[in-house]
Amino acid sequence: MLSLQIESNANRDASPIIGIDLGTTNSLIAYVPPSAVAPDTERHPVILTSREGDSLIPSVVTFEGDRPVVGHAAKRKKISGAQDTVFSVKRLLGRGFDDLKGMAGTLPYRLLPGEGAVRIQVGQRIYTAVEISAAILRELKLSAEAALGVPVTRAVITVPAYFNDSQRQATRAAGRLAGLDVLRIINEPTAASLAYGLDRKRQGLIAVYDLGGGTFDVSILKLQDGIFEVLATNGDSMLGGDDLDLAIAQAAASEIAEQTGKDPFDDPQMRAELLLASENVKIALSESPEARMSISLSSGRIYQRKWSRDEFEKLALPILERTREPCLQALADAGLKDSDLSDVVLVGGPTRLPLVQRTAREIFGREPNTSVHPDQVVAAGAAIQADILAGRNKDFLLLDVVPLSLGIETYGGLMSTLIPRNTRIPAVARETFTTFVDNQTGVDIHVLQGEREKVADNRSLARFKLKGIERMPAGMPRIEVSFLIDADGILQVAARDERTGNEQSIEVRPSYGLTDTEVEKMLLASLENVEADAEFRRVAEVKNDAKAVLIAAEKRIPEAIRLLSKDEVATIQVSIANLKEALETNDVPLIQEASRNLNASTVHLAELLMKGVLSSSVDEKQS
Amino acid sequence: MQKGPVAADRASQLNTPGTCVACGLAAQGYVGVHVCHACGVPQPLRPGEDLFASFGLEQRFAIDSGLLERRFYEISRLLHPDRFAAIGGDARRNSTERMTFLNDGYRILKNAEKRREWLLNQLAPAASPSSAPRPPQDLASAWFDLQDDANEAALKDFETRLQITQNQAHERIRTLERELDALLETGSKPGPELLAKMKAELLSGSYLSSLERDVERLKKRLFIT
Repeated sequence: MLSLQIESNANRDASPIIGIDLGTTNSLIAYVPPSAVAPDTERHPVILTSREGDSLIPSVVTFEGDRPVVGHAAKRKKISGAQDTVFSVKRLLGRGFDDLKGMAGTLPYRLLPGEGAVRIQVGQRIYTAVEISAAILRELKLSAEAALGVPVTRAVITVPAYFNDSQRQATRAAGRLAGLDVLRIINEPTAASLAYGLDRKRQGLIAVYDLGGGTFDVSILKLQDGIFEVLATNGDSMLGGDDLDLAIAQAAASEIAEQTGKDPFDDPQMRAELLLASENVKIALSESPEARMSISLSSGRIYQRKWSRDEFEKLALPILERTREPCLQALADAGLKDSDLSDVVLVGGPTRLPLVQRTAREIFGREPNTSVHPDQVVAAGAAIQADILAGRNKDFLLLDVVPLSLGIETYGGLMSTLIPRNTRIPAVARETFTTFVDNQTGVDIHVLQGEREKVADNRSLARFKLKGIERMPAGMPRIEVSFLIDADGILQVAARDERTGNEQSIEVRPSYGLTDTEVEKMLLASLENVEADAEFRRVAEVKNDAKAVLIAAEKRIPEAIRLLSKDEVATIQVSIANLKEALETNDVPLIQEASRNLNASTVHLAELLMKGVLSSSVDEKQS
Repeated sequence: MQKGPVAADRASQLNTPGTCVACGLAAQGYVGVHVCHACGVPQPLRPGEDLFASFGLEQRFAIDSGLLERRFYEISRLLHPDRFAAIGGDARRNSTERMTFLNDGYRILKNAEKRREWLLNQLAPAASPSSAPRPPQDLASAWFDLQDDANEAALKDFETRLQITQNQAHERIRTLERELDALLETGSKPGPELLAKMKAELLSGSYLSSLERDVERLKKRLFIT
């Protein structure tokens, strides 16, 4: 008895760090067991199965009342519960409504503008992408706990290499919200290379061509005796297998629209059904030369169509061509020719498609390696990095780079780069700047990320002000700006006036839609209440805005009586009464409408008051 | 950032150069400068450490890039902050600072232009170039002509001439490099005249490189958009 217990304890890891591949379509969890201990042997990760018993966990969230449901159970509701079911949320993570204009029409669920990040409407409730991702991560955490039999609180999560800082921070925030301490965010192609390189015979220069559900990445690495040095990375965070599904769906939709006179994309449920049928056609065509599509339309008719591989490839080719430029750029950044590579590794579900394999072959001029498990390799790599960070694997080491250039705004709306892309981390950079106006006493430090010259074309990460500069002619002050990125990829920016020694610094935490305080607040709320909280917040915001309108209108009543007709005054008073009534409820559309009505009824008054202000100020000047 | 106490702590760490901050044993070899060979603790970064010495290399204009890479991997394997993620504290902070320095040093030493510039600055911080950077006169006027009337044939012709000029400049730099390295090998300090000559060559070399970038930009503007 006793010896048995000791053995089972030895196999148990008191505080495991799991690896998570948080995918656009599917997510996976992996783990390197401590029992693989003989220190010199390879430490192999195992893929953990979900509570539903599968290693692939669909990144789909649906809601039963207020309770989120994740995985296959949610995926099954993708059509019947199209409007309550969120998929591909990763494409929304860390993005604003304006970033996603092109996508809004392609998803069955509604996107709404919000402060900072885009909001997702599910039934009557509003969520951020961080909250939806947290629901997925929570399910992964529970699955890992069920599989390992111990609490799991720490994780390494993978993201596309080309994710920008706000997308990475949003992923971290989602992890925290799910109760996970995210020890490291690592890039998917890099993670894949760690798993690929477990076999120590695999050495030399490799390219990882990673086409996922929603993102494309390419990384060039040097593998040597357990060192994994990233030489260059590139990609497109808006390109993936989803786009192939969408291309099929759109072709079918325009045929249906032609036949029936109704665009099936106008109906969320039909749209979801078309996308799912298209995904199935795509998957079938990776095995066989033909696939059937059959969809029952709302009219009761059935739309049927046969897809040949040729037809599909015509649609897919222009999309896949978009992977060429990033590959060539990555090679150029690494200072290599395609013939220098010893292997091209394909990663991601869509790389099962013959056309994708052909495209990769054509770009790199060699037969790609399809031997790694395209779905599991990223999670396995995340688990290896977790093992390294736990201090158990001292043979492997990942030397990573920053994927996008970092800099600040300078005169003329141009970006000045301090840390160019593909710089090894940790890294530091310092540069001296000066003022461009005489007697300027403060400078705005605007931190940017991206490759373009103009500020407006890059991503704004943060802003802060350095004050207290001595009054001097333009060009005289010397302000040293320093950037510091640690191994976790977290950026610290400081600005220092060399004359006075005055210094300002910040840790860059870009706006992914939720402030730290907001995340804290959510953590405090119970698991079941997170969703209700979001709704409550939304109601509270709308009410606050409406109250401001109400107070402003009530203050102006005396002036209204003086300046407006009796009818107009009566309209305002009725509108005020209506808004007061609406504010007694939690009905968001009702409050918004009443508030708009009150605003409309006071337009004339506002005009008269404005004229009055102008003429009285003219009077003052003349007197 | 807790400034006061940490800074004081660091200062006391720095009082005993050449010995490990944790176990007090004397540092061994180029790896020992970064991480103690006995206890594996990363050492705090000292101001003004020599880049070449960090990699166990002599100060030379030409280096063995394969050896540089092997040394970089060898030190990183022991020093990288990921090795101290589970430990944290001073060890993690020192390893981050030192790894930042090592990454930067590797970037500089790996690149021939940056390496020459850095070493020249070490050997003769105040030296002025023997002559002002002078772009070959005909090349400069050809560039102005090209901007007035940019056509494909003229651009191609210009590129060829630029390439030839660059090759000649590289050859001169390599000759100087061999001369300087031979002196450094014997342990004698190169004279100011030679260093000033090198500085002038490096300046006009960087002028040519920036001209090359301008040509690329012009090409993009003309033929892509």
